[in-house]
Amino acid sequence: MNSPTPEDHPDAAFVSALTNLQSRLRGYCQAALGHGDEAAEALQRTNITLWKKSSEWDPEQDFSRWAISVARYEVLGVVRDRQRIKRRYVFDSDVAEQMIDVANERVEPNSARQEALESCLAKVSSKNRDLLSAYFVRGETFQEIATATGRGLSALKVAMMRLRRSLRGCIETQLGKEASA
Amino acid sequence: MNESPNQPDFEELEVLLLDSGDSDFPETSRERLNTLLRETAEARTFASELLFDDALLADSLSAEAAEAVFKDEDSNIDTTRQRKKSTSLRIAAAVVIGLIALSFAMNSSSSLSPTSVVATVQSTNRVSGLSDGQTFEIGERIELQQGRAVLRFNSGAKFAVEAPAFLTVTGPNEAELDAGRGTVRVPGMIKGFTLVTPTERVVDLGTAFGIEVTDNGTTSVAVFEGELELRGTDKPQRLFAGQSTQSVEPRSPAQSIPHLVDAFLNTWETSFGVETVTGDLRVARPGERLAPGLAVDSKTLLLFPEREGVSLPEGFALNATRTGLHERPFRKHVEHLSESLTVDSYLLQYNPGLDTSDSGNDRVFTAELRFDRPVVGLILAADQLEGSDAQLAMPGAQLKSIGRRGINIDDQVELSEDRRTLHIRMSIQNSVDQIRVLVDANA
Repeated sequence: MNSPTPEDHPDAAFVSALTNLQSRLRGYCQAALGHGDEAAEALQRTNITLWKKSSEWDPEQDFSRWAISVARYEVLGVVRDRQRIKRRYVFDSDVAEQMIDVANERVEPNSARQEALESCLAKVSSKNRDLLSAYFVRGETFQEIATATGRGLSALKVAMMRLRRSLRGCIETQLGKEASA
Repeated sequence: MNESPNQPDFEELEVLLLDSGDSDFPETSRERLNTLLRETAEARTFASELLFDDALLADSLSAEAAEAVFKDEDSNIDTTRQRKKSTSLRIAAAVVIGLIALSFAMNSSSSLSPTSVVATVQSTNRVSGLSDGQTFEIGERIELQQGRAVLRFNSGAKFAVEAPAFLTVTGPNEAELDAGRGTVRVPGMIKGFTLVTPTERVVDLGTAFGIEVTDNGTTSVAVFEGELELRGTDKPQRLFAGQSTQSVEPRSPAQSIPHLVDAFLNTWETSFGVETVTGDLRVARPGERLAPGLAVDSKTLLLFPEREGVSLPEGFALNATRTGLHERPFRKHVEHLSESLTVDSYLLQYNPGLDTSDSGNDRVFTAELRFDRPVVGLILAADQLEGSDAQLAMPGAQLKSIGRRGINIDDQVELSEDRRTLHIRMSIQNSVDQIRVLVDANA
């Protein structure tokens, strides 16, 4: 029986396909499980499973469909392991199942949105960019950011809300321009 | 706050989603968030859009950090056009950093667990060489020389298998079965569980089925509930509940055979986490299970496995959570769960199909029932049984046709100290006795 082992090294095509799909995989896990450790755990499990099964992937076939189906099972696995692992979670199991359905509908590639976001991010001030990075990249809590920056907790949350809305508005405008061009 | 269930309060939802990232997100806020998401599809779509965007945002910002790592000091070119062109490259750079770390992790045996586990042994019965909770990664082989075991895949699919059996775990929702007999059950919304045998490829489409692979590879399949597809040939064959087939040669169509049920009853029971049943009790057979309200048996008590993996909230009302003897009058009529729990539910029933209350022909049934996981609660009174039907009974259970539910004055139910064994004594005075047993789904 030819089963992949941890020693197997995926080829360049696989690494490229997995790399290109990371944003969508992360989005899928997050849309199904919400912010927090669970989505990160599901993404990590998905990457490991895909890596170990890399030899089964035929480059002629749709990588994203296969990868998203693996992500779905890993998300379900994280939900099922809740009581055993006792990790904090955001969505109750029944809600997570409903959110998986919505995520399945939204997981199609959207490189235009990503490029629009890049363009909009370039217009964000460095102060606000630091705020976004602290929260979304370094995973700092609002309280930690408030302590570090000396800003009030409520003001910080309001700023984040406005920032996200402004980015969303910018993205929609950008996409509208491209559609009418 | 918006009162209309059709018009979600998007602002409240956005605030809650943002706050939910904090580790000290209050439980009341978490419950409110879940309530909003349950209420409308619009709320779920809105939340999904926000969360996808947040993931894009995180990736883009991570890409900037990665770019700093790879930054070419000699390059000061930063036109908008080139920024656009390099977007995917920059994100790729961030991901490559992650994948390099993943590559190291994959080659380090110490860091493989627990994230690469795709299947877990839920329970074993008289098995050597396997233990409860043992985990398996892709490619690992299981050889069962004696006894029975339940394997739970990460997808949620359960495979109860009895010796002698030889299989290889090939993914979170698939396995190769070289030889052996077992029952597969794929509860809830999960689909696509696949078993590959030397002569067949069996793909679940929301089902419970029995499968037997003999030493020469002949594969027999019996569908108990739902449907599945045989994909061992170029023309997939759809099978429905009540149908059985046999595949003798690879890539040859499966042949219909008389429906097999009895051969799989042991693993059928085991697949529900029922370890042993003794006395005047049997587990409902495939077909009976889905409609306990219509199942009549005057000679024995019947156990109907109901819904699995149901999340019960803190405060959920039942009649008993403690070990020891439970009988009428209850020490405390209603108890409440002290924390939310995920349970598998079972309905234990006596239903002779006619009212024997005036016959003067009392009969005592005794039985012992052992589960592979702890019992966390019992529902023994008619009002709590009715109140819990919506969450725990199978859809179409037809329980409305049954009167006088619950237990009577002379009935006794005793839960053992290890919470796994129920001793049941039922004096059948009226037409029907019924209790509901809740088992910890995640133990």
